[in-house]
Amino acid sequence: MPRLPAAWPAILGLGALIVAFIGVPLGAMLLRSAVVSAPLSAVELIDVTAEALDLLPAPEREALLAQWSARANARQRMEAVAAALEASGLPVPWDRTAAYDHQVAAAAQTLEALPAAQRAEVEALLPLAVAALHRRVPLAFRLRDRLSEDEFDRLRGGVSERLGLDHYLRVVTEERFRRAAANSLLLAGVTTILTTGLALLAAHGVNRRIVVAAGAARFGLLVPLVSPPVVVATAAVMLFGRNGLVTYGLLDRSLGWIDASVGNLYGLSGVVIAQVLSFLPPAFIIFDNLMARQDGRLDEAAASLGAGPWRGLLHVSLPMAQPGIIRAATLVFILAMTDFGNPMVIGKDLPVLAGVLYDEMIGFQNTPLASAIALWLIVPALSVYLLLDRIGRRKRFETVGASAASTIPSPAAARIGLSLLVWSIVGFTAVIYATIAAGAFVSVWGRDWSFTTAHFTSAEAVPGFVSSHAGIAPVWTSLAVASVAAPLGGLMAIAVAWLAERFRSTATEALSFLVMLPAILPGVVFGIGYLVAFNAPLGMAALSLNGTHAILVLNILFGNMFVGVLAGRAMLRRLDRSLEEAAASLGATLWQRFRLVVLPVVRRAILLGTLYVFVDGLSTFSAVVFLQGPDIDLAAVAIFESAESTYYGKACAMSVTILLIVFAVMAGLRLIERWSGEARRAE
Amino acid sequence: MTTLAFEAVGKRFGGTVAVDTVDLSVPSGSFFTLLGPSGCGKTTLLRMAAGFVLPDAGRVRVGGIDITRVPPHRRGLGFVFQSYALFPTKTVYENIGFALALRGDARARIASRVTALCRLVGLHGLEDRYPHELSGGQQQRVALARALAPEPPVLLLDEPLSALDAEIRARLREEIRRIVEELGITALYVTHDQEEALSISDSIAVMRDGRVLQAGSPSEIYLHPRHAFVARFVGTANTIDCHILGADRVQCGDRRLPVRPNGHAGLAGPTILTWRPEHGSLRPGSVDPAALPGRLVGASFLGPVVRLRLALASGETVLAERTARDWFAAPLEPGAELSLAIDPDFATVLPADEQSRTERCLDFPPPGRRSSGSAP
Repeated sequence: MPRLPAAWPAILGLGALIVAFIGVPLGAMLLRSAVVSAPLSAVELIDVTAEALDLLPAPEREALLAQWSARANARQRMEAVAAALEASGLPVPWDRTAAYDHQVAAAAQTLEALPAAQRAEVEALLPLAVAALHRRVPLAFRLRDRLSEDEFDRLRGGVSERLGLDHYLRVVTEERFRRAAANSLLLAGVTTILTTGLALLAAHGVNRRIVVAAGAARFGLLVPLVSPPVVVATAAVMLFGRNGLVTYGLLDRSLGWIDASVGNLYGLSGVVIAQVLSFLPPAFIIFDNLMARQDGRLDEAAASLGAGPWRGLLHVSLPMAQPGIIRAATLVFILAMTDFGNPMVIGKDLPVLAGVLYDEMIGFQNTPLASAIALWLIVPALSVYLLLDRIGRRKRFETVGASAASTIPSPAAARIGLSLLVWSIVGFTAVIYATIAAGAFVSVWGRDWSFTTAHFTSAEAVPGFVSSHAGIAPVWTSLAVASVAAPLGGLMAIAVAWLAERFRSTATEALSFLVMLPAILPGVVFGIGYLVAFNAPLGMAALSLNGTHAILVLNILFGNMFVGVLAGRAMLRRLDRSLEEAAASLGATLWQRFRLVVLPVVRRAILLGTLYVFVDGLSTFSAVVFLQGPDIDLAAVAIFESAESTYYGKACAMSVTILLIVFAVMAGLRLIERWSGEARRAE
Repeated sequence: MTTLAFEAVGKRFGGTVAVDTVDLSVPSGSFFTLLGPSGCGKTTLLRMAAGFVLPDAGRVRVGGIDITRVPPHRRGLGFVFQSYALFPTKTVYENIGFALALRGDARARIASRVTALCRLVGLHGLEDRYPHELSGGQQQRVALARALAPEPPVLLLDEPLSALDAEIRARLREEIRRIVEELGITALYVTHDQEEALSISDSIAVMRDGRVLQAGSPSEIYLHPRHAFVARFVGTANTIDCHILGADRVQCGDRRLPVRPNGHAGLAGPTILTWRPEHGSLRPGSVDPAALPGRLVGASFLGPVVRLRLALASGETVLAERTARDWFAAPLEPGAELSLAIDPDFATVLPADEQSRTERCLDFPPPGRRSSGSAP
């Protein structure tokens, strides 16, 4: 392509950013998950120490060795003898687990019993063995300037790192991981089947206009897309938990039907309900997009050939929805597998793999193991995808663009059934949001129903019952982070989309693949990747981004850029290429073409991309939960922590504030859109 | 052998009337076409026959049985869509055999029927293809075979050819006609293409604004339109203002012309005279009292004929034809004075509709646009 050279610097620049902030973290995480530390053997320790000692001038070295050897006590000498024997290739004949004084005597005997030549050899090694076993740390610090970071660590820790799948194997071999994995698979399986089925039915009902007030129902189903974390689980606990409004307040206290400490929603069923309601909107959107484009004539054709509504659904609509089923099932499976919020809030006695990962990461800072678990989490979802795709590949097809809804009146039973189903989902969602709104203004849910605004301030709602988060301050932190990330993300996404569409090449295709990766991989993976990659980038601790606002901005930006890229590419594909060529022929430079021709056309895509980064920055937490430093509290994480430690008022107050912000921003954008649309018409 | 009948059928969509009290009977075994511009209600009428749309009023009968409230999948009528509407997830074989499999036919029976249908519509050897691997014409053949598979008594076709190229359209239309004739089924065919309607149909109903303006054989519709709109929509028609003088005579400008006696004598209000360009004959000079005087303003060569544009003394413009051989034997210069005599058998007097004047000038017939410049 003749114009490629002009775009080359732009592609290189953006490419470097994308590789650095998407490719590198994922790669680093992959690498980290395969790093296994193991203590060095005595022989290896002696070798390492000898190498380090060789860096010293000979007199200094001899003096040190003599000094250390002289100061060694009996036990240290015994251990040195054992190590020296090993290093000389001789057996250690005494019991190394016996009491020390027995061992000391046995060592002396062994040494004496050796033939003279061997004994001399072993004794020559002794000072070195003492140093290797007991003086490596001072030696390492003495040589710090002359050793590389790795050599220093190795000498000081006496530990070697190697590549291996040990962390992955632990998940399979250790009982506690196996149990959690089984729970995860069961949970994800049930959630996926229920969510995909419900979303499919709801989308069918809404798009075929079988459901009463289909437009309103679609809106109601999509609203929870904008949702702070664990909202559903929190509301469910508030309603159906041990002290839940319904379970305890109504059924136990008022009616005496159940014992709320037993009959509550905690456990698998509670997690399933919370997950289904949380993941229904994204699954629904997939089917909705697919079915909105579907030709209603196909339904009519099926009917004219003798297929009633039920058989038409089975034989025509279902096969048509198959790509959607694959996509939605994979998405929900990944979401359910990697979700630790819902199981931790409402699961309680149900350990899942994602929860174990969270504990390993937050509790034990065992990054390699956490990385390995995170990758394990994707395996089943990928298998599901590949399996479904394999089934689907037998029947490739293209959907036609034509779309007119079928006008065949649907039978009353279907109308009533689907309306009930869809509207009860919408109704349940409404109840959840109402609960959250109410919870924000109640002193202590389930105990003290007095009205308060204290959850929004740093004041204590009830003296002594204080969350670690003061007021809703984390929301403002999140707002700041999201506000910085959003416009950057939106603009970068469009630039990437434009380069990918206009200068198609292997390079740009590779870039857009990288940009799409965070969409496929769970947030946990992307978060851990950042932690690993930017702890000490390029081996320099001074460049560390961990604990800064910058890493949060970058993570949110690059983790959600794909939406803007997808929208931008779709829009640019419709933009007539000759428009740009005309501009080029009039002498517009690359930058001028982008600014004057492309930008005005893709305004909506930029808005969408920006909005998505913004909303996600405010509400999702699976990536940033591992990244926020000790001095930074992000709202999403704070909500999760509050809900998990039963400070529901705080969690509700922050959720309500986030929802208000998001809806205000959306309404504002819509107003601006309308206003600018009118202005344009007026011209 | 089944008739399809609409009795006072009506349908509104919101505030707009799509079909306004239509009575129509499609005789058993006939190829019947609904012809009209887009939005005339022809497709809605067809879809009411299929059961895709419920009429607000009236009934639909097949073979005398009222099927107005029968859901589409129990009507057993075949339907062919403009967009083919083949099931993209199914092969040609599965598409054609769909209805048979649904009703539980034995596998062997389905196989023999599908094979026979593939032969009938010329798809032999393509059974394992998917729809997107076929051309538009082949897809429509599949759609036709699929609709015919369960041996429906009535076949409904909704502009089945309008998405195809002109050449394939002409060929496939002959084949549809042949197949329907061979099977002896009743066909109701919707199109906006008058040439297609004329060539394929036993009968045509011309529709506008939800009403049937005229129904009859193609030749009746073409030669003896009973409505100004029908005259203009089907083929090319000349229409000029006229006054009725008697059962077989009208006055146009200062000329009195003989016309076909067709019961127009009682008409009140403004009337028009209409005829086809090929039914006028031209003579030099402008003195013939039974012919219209005019001046040649343009001629365009159409192959077998040359179409001439005449400006009449009244200011109206009309079209006339001459065979190419006559024209090239004695070509005329623009501005030549001519008189146009109209064959009285094909000169029809009709009440002027409100659109006569504007449409005559702008759209129908399109003298200004089609015959620009002079003949070669």
